[in-house]
Amino acid sequence: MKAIRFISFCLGCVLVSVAAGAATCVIRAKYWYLPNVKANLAYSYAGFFSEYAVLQSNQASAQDGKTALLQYLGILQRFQSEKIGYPENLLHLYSGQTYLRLYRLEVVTKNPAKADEYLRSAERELAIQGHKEITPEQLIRYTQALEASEAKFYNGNTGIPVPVDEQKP
Amino acid sequence: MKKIIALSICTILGTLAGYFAAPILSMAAAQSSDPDIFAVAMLANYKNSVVCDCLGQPVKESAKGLSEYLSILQKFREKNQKSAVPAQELGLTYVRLSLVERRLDEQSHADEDMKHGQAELATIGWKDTSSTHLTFLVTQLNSEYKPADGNKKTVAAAATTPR
Repeated sequence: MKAIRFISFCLGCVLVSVAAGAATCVIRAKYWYLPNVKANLAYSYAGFFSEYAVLQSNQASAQDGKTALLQYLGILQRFQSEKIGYPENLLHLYSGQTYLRLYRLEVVTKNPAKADEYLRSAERELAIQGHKEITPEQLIRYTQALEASEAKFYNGNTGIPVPVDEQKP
Repeated sequence: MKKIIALSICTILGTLAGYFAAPILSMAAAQSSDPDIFAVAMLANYKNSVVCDCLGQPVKESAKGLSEYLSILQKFREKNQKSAVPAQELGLTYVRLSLVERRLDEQSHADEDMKHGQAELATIGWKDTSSTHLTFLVTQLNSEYKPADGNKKTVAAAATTPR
């Protein structure tokens, strides 16, 4: 009888230990680690795709560039809709920049309606991000500067592949 | 009294075990909830470590690291055959490896890997896949990983926001 009571007590101790461990683990994982892990994974994932999309838009054809940029944009929108702990202002900044790259490619492929749409989307994203007073002309000038800096960095020239002066659709 | 002390000790031990097991559980949960994001993020982290190390470690070690990264990428591509992402990454890694092999005076390997890189990048529509351009481009991309400022920066991220 004494042995049975001792064994039941030991089992009770194990049960208490497991319950306390499980509760601590779940609470700590759910409310502390998991959001951080997800945010870090999202950051690495988006960074990887960002490099891919920027390189495709600079090195491949306009169509391949657009496909890659839209894929990247889809990832950013997914992070926004799933409320992954990715800084909201960065999501809007990167989305705005991606819309501007898309705008540039649409101008190159002579699609003014789509280019205008992307320019407005960029304006909207950057306004949410905090640049409320920004005008389309300023965005075009920014795109021009971005294009020149990327042409220099990725292709080693100071020229711009396609003239961006007067790019407003 | 003894029973209460024993139960308290068990509770503390369990809590401690749970506290330290939480990071492992989080990783497992993140992996199972979105395996694609997890796989690409791990790949990105591995790439960062390989490319960063390339700039500071012996050339032979760099070649080894890049070869391992190549084989991981090839496995990744087998699972994601429709995506152009692994092709671009494979192409650039072949070029990186080729540059390292050139420093090791393994010219035939270097030429072979450069050709592999050019072929991969041509399949995803790259317009200029000349060896000169790819060497320049990879050198530029590697420069973003220089440990001088401690931070990886991309041109896109470094670009100033519109004013």
